[in-house]
Amino acid sequence: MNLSVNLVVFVRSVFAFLTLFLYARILGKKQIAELSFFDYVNGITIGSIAATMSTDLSSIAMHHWVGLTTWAGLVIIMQVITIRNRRWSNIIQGESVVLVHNGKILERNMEKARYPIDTLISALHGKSVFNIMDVEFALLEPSGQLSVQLKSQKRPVTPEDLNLETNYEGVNVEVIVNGIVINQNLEQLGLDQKWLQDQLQQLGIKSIKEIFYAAIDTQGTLYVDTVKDRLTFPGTVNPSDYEGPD
Amino acid sequence: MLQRVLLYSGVVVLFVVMVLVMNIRFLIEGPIGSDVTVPSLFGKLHRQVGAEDWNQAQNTHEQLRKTWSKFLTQAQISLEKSEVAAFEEQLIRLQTALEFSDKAKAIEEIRLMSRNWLTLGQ
Repeated sequence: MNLSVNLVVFVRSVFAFLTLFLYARILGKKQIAELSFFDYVNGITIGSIAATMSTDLSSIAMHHWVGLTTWAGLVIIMQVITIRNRRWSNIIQGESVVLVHNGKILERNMEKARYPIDTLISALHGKSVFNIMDVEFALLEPSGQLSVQLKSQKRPVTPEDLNLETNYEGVNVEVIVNGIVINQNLEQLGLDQKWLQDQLQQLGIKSIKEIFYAAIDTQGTLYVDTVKDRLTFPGTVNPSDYEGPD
Repeated sequence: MLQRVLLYSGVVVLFVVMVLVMNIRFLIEGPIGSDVTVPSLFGKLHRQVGAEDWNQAQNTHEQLRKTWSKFLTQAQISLEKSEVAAFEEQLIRLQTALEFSDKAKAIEEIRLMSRNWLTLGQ
């Protein structure tokens, strides 16, 4: 071959990588745990086609690219159908199955879902439920995860149960990351760099470069983490029990 | 808004470039920047072998080999490894047929190469 085979593999790999990256972005942000079996198999197939496109010189890259695009396209079509049509959504993704109701295991549903009792017990343990009698509902979700609703007497007490009022918490807004001020966020809060400098001076910090991370909560409190951790007592904690060489 | 348009345009351009590079075999018939195409040399070889002009046919074969080599450098990304190997084997068999003035064998190889050229990269 005239051109270095390694160079051909390199170019094909770049093409496969860029294509896969774009399709992964389009296909969404589901986590592995949220994937249905079908999503999981699709992911493996698409990845496999991309890997073959990258290194298998016995076939033309374009064939794999078309395959990759077709699979990604079909998954996108399925996703759109799933969102827009409830009936098709049930057919494609499946429905939740009740495995436990009011402390009673529903054997017929367990059999339909082909869900072994050991797995059910283990999944309940994973949710800190050690007594099936405490369970109001246990649902097997289409993703394979078990969702558990405890009986009302067994649920942790919430402020609402005690008629307690709570403050709005919201989300912290980042104002400095890696020594760089995020002016856009400061402006959104109606603040400016001068206010920030004043706050930092009060904390004994001379330069913004010293700050690794700073954020403001909904109460207006500024949280600051400096690059140099100024720990006094008890000092840096080392959780390792390794006594090896220093 | 402008950033978004630029981003989407960039992605579209990138994909078009990738598709063009992967199909470059179908965009060029010979090396870029050269007037000589690979299929035109098949015709020339066929005529020279038919006229049993073996010296000229060997010169044309050498020209075909060089043209193919340059074409391959530019289009290899769009070809299969086995197709390239098969074409190069045929080039060698044709060279041998021309050296030994084997007209039937030479015509057969030229015809096979012409046919393989049509399916190259498909």
